[in-house]
Amino acid sequence: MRTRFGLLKYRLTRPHPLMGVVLLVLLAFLILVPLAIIVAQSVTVQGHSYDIRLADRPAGSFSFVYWRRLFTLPLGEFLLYRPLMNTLVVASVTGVLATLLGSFLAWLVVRTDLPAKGLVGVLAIVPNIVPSFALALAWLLVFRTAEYSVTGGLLAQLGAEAPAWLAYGPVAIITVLTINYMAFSFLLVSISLRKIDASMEENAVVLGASTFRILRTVTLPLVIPALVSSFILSSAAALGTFAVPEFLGSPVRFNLLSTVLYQNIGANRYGEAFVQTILLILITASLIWLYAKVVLGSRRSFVTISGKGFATRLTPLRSWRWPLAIAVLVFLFFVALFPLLMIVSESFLLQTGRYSLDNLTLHYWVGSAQTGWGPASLAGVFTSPATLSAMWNSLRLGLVSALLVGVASFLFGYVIVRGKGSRLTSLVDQASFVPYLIPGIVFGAMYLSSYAAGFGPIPALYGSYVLIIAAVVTNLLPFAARVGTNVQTQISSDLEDTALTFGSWWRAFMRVLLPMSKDGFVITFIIAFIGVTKELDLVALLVPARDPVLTWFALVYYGEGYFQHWAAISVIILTVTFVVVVVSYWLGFKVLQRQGDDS
Amino acid sequence: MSEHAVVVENLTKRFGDTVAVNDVSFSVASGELVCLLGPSGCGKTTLLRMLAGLLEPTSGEIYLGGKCVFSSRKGIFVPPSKRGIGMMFQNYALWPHMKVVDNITYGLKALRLPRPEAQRRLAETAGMMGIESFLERFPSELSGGQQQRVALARMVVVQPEIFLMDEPLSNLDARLRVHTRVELRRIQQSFRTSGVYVTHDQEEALALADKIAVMNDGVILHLGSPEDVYEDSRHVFVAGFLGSPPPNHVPSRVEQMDGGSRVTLPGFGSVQLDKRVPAQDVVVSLRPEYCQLVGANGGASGTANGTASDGRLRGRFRLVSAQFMGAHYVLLIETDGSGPLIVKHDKGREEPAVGSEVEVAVDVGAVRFYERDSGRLLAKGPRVVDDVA
Repeated sequence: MRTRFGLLKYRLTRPHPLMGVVLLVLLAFLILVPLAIIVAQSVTVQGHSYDIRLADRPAGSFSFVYWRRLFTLPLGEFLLYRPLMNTLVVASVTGVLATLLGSFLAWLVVRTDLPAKGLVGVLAIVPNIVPSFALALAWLLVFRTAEYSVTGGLLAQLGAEAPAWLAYGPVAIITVLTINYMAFSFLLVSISLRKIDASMEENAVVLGASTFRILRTVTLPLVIPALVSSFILSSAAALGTFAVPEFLGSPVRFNLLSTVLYQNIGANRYGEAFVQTILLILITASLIWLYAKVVLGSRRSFVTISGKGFATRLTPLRSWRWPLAIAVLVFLFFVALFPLLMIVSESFLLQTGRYSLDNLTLHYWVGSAQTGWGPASLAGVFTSPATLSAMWNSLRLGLVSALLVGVASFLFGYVIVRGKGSRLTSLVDQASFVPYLIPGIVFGAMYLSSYAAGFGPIPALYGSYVLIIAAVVTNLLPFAARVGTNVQTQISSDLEDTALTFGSWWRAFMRVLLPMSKDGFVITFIIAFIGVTKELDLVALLVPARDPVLTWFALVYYGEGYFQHWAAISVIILTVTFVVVVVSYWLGFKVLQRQGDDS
Repeated sequence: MSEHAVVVENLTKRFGDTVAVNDVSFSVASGELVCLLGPSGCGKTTLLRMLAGLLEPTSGEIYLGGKCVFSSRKGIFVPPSKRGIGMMFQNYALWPHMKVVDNITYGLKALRLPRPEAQRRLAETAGMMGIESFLERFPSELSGGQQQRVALARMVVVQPEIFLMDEPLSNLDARLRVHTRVELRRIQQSFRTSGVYVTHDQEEALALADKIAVMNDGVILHLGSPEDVYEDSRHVFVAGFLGSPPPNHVPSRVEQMDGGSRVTLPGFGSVQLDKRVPAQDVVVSLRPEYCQLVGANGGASGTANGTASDGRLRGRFRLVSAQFMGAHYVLLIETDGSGPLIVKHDKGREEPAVGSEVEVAVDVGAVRFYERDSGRLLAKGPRVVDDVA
């Protein structure tokens, strides 16, 4: 009586509910458990002698000592209030500026007759591909001052040394982050502008409205959701960002929550760091919650979008056409290309920042170690075994994580789309977005607190790449789930059902689902690979110093003032990124636009 | 049970709190094509997907070809590929990454036929469908009609015992749809395969089916031959769903009289029902084609109101509008109090003048009376035509 068990067997082998349960368990271990542990750890006396003295209790006992320290003056000012205020200011100003710049560029490219649009469109995206630590390096190479660095930057060489308030601190951080996030806003608003039905603007033209009035009364209100998204998402990114404030803020002791928490962990003050981590999560989470409430919640009132692909009406810029184009191109040259020039040239300078032909060298690329002090004492990045093995580590980390993100993308997409309507599915859907709330550096602190020492059946993973891969993949899950959902939505369930009437689910999966999801998998893989290769925030706390990835050396070189090595590894990572992007475009995968589409 | 290709007993499907299919029982005789007809959301597609095994019913039993393929009581669930079915979807569900030939042979490979036999079946099916010339193309390179034939070929090539079709024609344009309808019927009859066919298009159902099951709210309201379902609808919903233009539904009331029960048709007079029924509110259903214009433009035929000896009930009304539909006119006639009346008027007869007073005659034998509260058929056209005016 084989069929007697048919119903039970059918329920067990029906893939998406089972997969959904597996994914939820996985997410619990990747997010929920670390979150719970870090909260518990923040009220537990840590093992360092400093902690025991501080709490006057044995390690492991319950205590609010860290919370008290952060929330009481005078220490609280340095541990919490100032970093918190700095974080809020940097995040909100960056959000506003990135949104203004990005959306203005988007409007010019999508809705006006600006010349050289193609070039503007490409250049506007470039600063987003450049890793943030490389942008920070370029900033330092131009603005650094002799007072805080080994030598003055390009401006100092030209006889106009930048004041310290410009070179370091909030202005520098906000400017670099704005350049970095501008592209994100550009993509988001471009998409929204493209979807506007031209007839809405045409109606206004017929009724005699001026260009400015149309912009103010028709176009702007229609893209407000995109503007709000752009502001909130780039502010949230700025809240938790670590590399840029570390490199541009710490020389003048301008700290954000992310940098104080990093410094605390470096100084073995875990308890304080965990409290700062929790606060950072709370702030980011409330911002994203606001986003979900304001933007996603009100989406229905903006269903003015028409899906028609008709040519949109272009606003004539008239006499502004060329002046604007030139101004925009000059601006983009300085934010997109000039930093790259600075970085590339620096990697060939024997003495940092001295721009002269006799100062050119290949030492920092292929030279061997010299005796003495200074950057030249260190071998070139292609000679030193440490950087060579780090390149290999970065490559492996990138490939393995990207593969896992691709698989996760398919699984989440399949479960979310095919199981639509069930409670399990909506839980998986929502849980997959949680990593959005968690900045990269916080992932580091969370995983350090929970899995470094082992938890339940999981062995101690400190310094293990398993932990790093878990952090990197989890961080990319919201993106993976979104792409996967888009891909699966486009595959009609009838295609799978038809195959089911002919054969097993496995055969339908192999012959129909998998081949049809291939493009989505490739796109996810490429974007994840690029993202992981240039990732520093996430790995800063997790990579083992004896066996690091390439980006981690940026922290080392920054600390030592080895700008040329820093430049060389930036060039390597940039080259890999650009090659991957160009090849994928050549293969027909528009990976950069895709990032915007899926956000 | 072997004379029945499909037997469904007490089948129910719940999605959370909503009941999509509610305790449905029906059967399909061997070689018969049954259309599940109903508005969207009536549960017809859910029912079909349960037959295919793509959806697990909440309770009930399904027998296909005499074999139990689902029973909630006995814990039986046979997977779709083991049910001997062929399925066809509205969007054809051709796999876009496979060539036409790979689409068609997908099912053959699961059957593990010897190679020559598989080749023969492929050639035979392709020939029958007239798709030999584009076997090597991808679905995106085919027109809608061609895609439809490929989907059909993919379904029949495995020689299933039962065809399950979910609106397979609704993506075609009107002309092709009529042509393919005939083709589909021919193929189904030549294979002597039983079929269950889901559609919301009544014309399609009437033209194709051996039997029609009209569904609403998860229940089959009437299962019968097309003529039976149309002429003697057992439920007011069925009557209203069929017919283009739809029948006139006029509220009225059953009253008792000597020797039986009677109902007043506003503007026309009263009729006696074919049996005695309790006094209650009813809905009177008058199909437009059974209402005729007599002596338009105030012609002097018949009496003013009431019955004549020819089995018709007459009334005088004002003509509000006349729509020319090509083969006939659809007239809107103003009655007092019970809303406008739709009348079908054949071409070639006297052309109606809008605004004029016209005389309408109703074929009382075709009038149906439904209980207002339950919607069930109460009485057919009156046996006795009685002048009470």
